[in-house]
Amino acid sequence: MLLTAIFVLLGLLALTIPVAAALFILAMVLEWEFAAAPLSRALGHQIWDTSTNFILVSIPLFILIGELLLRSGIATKVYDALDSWLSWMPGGLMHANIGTATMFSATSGSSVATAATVGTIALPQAPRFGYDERFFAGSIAAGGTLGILLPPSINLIVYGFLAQASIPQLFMAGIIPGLVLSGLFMLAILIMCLIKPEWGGERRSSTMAARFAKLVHLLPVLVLFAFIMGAIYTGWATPTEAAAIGTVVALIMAFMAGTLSWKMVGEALEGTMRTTCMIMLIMISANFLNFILASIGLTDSLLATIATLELSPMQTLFLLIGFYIILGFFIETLSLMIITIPLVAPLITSLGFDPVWFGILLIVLIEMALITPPVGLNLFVVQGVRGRGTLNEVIVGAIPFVLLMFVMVLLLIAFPGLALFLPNLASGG
Amino acid sequence: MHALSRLLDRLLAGALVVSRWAVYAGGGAILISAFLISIDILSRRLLGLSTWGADELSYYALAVSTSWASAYTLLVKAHIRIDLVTSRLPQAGKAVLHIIALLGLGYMAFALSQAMFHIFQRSWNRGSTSITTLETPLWIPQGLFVAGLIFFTFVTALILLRVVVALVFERDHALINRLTGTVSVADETEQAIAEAVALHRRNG
Repeated sequence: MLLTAIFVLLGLLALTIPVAAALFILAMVLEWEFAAAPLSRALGHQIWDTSTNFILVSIPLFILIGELLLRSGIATKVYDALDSWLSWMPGGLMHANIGTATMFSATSGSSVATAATVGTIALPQAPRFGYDERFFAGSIAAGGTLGILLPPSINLIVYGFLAQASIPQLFMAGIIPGLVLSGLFMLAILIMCLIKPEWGGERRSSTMAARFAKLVHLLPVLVLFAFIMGAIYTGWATPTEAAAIGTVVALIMAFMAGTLSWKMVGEALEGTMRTTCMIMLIMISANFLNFILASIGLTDSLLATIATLELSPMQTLFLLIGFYIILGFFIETLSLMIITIPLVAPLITSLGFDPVWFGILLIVLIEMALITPPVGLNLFVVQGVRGRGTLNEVIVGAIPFVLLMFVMVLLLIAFPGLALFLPNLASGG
Repeated sequence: MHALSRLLDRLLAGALVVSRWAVYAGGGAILISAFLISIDILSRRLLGLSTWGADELSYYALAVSTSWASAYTLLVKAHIRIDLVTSRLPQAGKAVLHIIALLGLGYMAFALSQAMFHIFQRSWNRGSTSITTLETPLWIPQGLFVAGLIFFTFVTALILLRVVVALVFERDHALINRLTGTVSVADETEQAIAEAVALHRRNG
């Protein structure tokens, strides 16, 4: 049964059938082959229940916040402000790359959009101040991946929905690992540029007065992030409600920045609906597949199969990590998450791991997939913005960051508290 | 055959216009939902009023905007396909895969429409309402939802037909790729970059 499922799925995907349809057809095949009673009668209710789920309303809202902020032009000002604060360190502007990416990923749920935005602002600076272009480009590609780890993150909402883990808790759990990873990136840049000063480019310093004058540009993003997370953390609002207020605030910010127009809102809505629809159709299929897998007992049979291997929970975990690293080379990241969660989430829980903690671990693995060839989307984005040199240079420049992500995975395993401290604090446990 | 392909082209052009307006309408509904939910939570938290159903309206908006955006998402090739293994196939092989992919998507669109139509029909016959304060007659959101799915099925069939005509009679592979090629990584990044660059220019 398990093998049939895997082969059918791989076959459907190899035929380039869209992921949503591939999952749906797999569910129908499994139902037809293995179900004792016809389950597809429940299909209509399953579709309607997934489509009208209030927590999922947060997906278009968070995407819309990101689209509005990206189009409001405040990224350039954030970069400028962080440049004045961070460029005195060895590695100079590369710290501003990571910093801007960290701040933008805190409000936008998309890694590709974050990398494209930061890249457009930052990349022209690399030759001007004599940076090593490979490392500089790598820092943007890697910084862009923070978008899916720091809340609000669409990937975390998707994981929470499919794995039935609390989304507020997942959001809380993403904060410390996101900041630690961002800090690791900056530390690595610092150390590398101390060892190889020629990579670092020209260091510039600003006066404290100029720095404080620019601090005001960081406020909008920080306030929005603090409001959304504060509201969710204190239980004042659900993620969807916080996202709704955040959307209104983002509109006001774009208005104050003088960039709000019908054209701009129209483009933001178009982009939002395209992404939302793509995700929602996959979610509808995945949730139906989830239902079929549980009904025909495939989930139980997977757990039984794993049990016969007589691996310790830790060994199984490392097996899974290896599996994700390999698949991450080949499969688009959001699809990879959605395809595997229905099987992996029950396995993780049965092994005694915390599903919230595993969600964060999974996101770091997914981030790694974003900057490893041949389908690391962020690499292509950065190379495309750069418009000179070769893709290989970006790939090489990203390698140190891939290694750091692996360190982050090990850190999360060694110290689960990195992820679980904040959610436990919030729930008083 | 010339007349048929011209007819299909005109239908597709029409479908693109309709689906684009549907996307703006759906996006608008999501935006309005954001305001309604905000008013709801603020009046609840600050004025102590009780909720009146903004959440319910917003999840209907999500469902209906999703089903109506499906056709547009297909027309702009944004439904994810994994073409790593097949990107080096010859043109004819790719065209066959495009047809298989459209058949798969069409099957899903049809099955979803059919299943949802039964739900809609039952709500209509029984006059079912939601078990909330709004007591929404369920046939309204379900009808809008299923209409979007049927439109999606129709557009999928239209593209499929156009691709078959292009393959069998016109042997026009460039056209097939324009209609339904997978969005390659290059295209996708090109789009993200073009948007970012345009914004950067506009906002200086």
